[in-house]
Amino acid sequence: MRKIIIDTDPGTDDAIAIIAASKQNDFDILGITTVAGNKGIDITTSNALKLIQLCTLKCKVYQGAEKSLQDQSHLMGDGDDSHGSDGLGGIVKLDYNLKDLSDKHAVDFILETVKANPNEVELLVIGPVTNIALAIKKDFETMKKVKAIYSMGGGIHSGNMNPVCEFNYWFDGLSTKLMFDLGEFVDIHMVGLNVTKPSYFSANDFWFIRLEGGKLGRVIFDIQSAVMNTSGLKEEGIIGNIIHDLLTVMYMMDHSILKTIRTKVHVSTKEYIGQTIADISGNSLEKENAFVAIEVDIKKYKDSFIKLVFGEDVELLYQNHVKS
Amino acid sequence: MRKIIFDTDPGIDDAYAIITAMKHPDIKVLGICTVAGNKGIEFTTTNAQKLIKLMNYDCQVYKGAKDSLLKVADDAGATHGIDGLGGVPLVYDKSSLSSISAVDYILNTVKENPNEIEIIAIGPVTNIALAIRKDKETMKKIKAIYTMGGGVYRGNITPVAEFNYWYDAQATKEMFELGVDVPIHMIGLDITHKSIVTNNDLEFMKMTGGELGQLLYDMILPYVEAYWKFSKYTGCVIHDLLCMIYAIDQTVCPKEAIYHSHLEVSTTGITIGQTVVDIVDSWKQPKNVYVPLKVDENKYKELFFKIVFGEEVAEMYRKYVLS
Repeated sequence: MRKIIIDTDPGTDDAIAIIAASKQNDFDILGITTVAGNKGIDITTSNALKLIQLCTLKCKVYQGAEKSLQDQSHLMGDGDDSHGSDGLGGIVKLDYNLKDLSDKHAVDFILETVKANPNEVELLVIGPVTNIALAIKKDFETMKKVKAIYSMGGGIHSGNMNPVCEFNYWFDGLSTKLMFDLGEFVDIHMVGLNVTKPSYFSANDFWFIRLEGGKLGRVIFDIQSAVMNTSGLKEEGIIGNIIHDLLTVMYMMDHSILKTIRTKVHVSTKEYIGQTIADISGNSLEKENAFVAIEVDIKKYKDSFIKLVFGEDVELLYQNHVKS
Repeated sequence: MRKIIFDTDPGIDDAYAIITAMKHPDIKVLGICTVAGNKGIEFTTTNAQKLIKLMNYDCQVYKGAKDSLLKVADDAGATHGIDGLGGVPLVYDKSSLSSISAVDYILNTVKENPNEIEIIAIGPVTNIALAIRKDKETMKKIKAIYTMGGGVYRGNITPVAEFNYWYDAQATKEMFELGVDVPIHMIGLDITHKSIVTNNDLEFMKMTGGELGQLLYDMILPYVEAYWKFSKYTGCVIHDLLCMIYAIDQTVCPKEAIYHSHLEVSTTGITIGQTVVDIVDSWKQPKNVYVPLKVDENKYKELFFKIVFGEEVAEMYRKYVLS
């Protein structure tokens, strides 16, 4: 069993990623740590609690940073509220149980878990990386014993907050830089917008999930259709949604979904905060700190998600009948 | 202005067709005649009244035949939702129902407007047949009939028959006998099934179509579920809408694929309701139908968005969905 901590700010795309992770047989999810990002920390934490109930996970939620190390959230306009009023689209009503919330802080949980399982713990980081940076600041030596980090963020010549910056890394540029400094010691996999954007799920895909996916399919449809809107249409030219975090977790399960290149990722902390700058030509002479995703097998990604969550028969229907 | 009478059994796809006509600046819908088919006559009649109220349109409903000529068929069950319009809440005014029967209304209107009336027949064609039986000479003065039904190479209710024609095969046969004198355009399953409105299209309509877009989206959900269940389409076929769009602009079907042919209708046995079309003219019989067998599905859908939601939405559809 792979030992995994999910660091997250749910989030409509985080929710689908967590559902997928909960279905993977060889994932032992040790805990979910929360961070402010898509929404404030109270909302992301209660959403994590809701997902624990929905997915019947046995682990707890550990609340983390409520403020980024390089806060520019005041720059987020109303138009940036792309996750609905409650962060899960605002349509689905999910219950949560406060007994699933630990009183331990996210940073302490991460450090203690890594200490107890040196070189075994993998971090799936699908929100701003503030908790990771705080853990590094607190105990760099322990963090060197993380087995791997899978981080959704950044991009190569791609942005969503502006032409060159992605939300998670833009939200906390300084923390992002600190995380990549760990990359000389720990395998960091960066799944950025250059691969997530082309891998969107269309309305046809979501309708298939609704029609064939039973109760859970309906929940996924309701979460995602709530945030399917004209901004996706006008900004990305798609009828559907990009589920950034889901691509990250599916890649974590099967590396053949993304092609990566080992290189050095720089993070801007002055202008265009959070921009990732990396030489992907293969000729970089710098000391590498990350595996950067540069190509995606979209069909394999979506097929394997359907198979994982809904089973082989449904996957076959999807392959045979759905044109995205 | 083109003068149109609908003969219809609303019906979700009927509703799409009627709303499109009502939105078109060059079309005057003079009246809506109802018939039993997708649902019983009481449902289809109040549904027609609901559409008039929804669109705030100035015309009346004329109730027609409650049974097919051979009285063999049942309605289309739950395909159109329990009320025939997907269960969306709509109201109607009692005053929109005329006391004149559908058959009399058709005959009177044609007499008053000889060679000007076009009939959009998107349900079983019982009323048309009854009008022909009553006064064939008047019916010869119809300008054209656009009928949704039949098929050359496929069926739906049976392997060889389409629902509307199967529901009243005798009436269908009698209607096509008029086709020697009046141009009848048959929009059959061959091209309606090539014109799938996908769930991407429907979500686009919901996003950009305002209140009417949301309503049409809500209305069609039973169709989406039925087409997935029975045909594994990620979307649905809005048969009657294609018939209407073709009536508006025949260039949605390439001219070389519109066959002027001889058509016969089976009225008995396992072939009941089948349309047998002599595409290659081997029988050398009088030609009584125009059958398009190819369709430009993108143009069809773009025209729908343009007519119902305006040029700006059509432009977005071209830019973001088609390309």
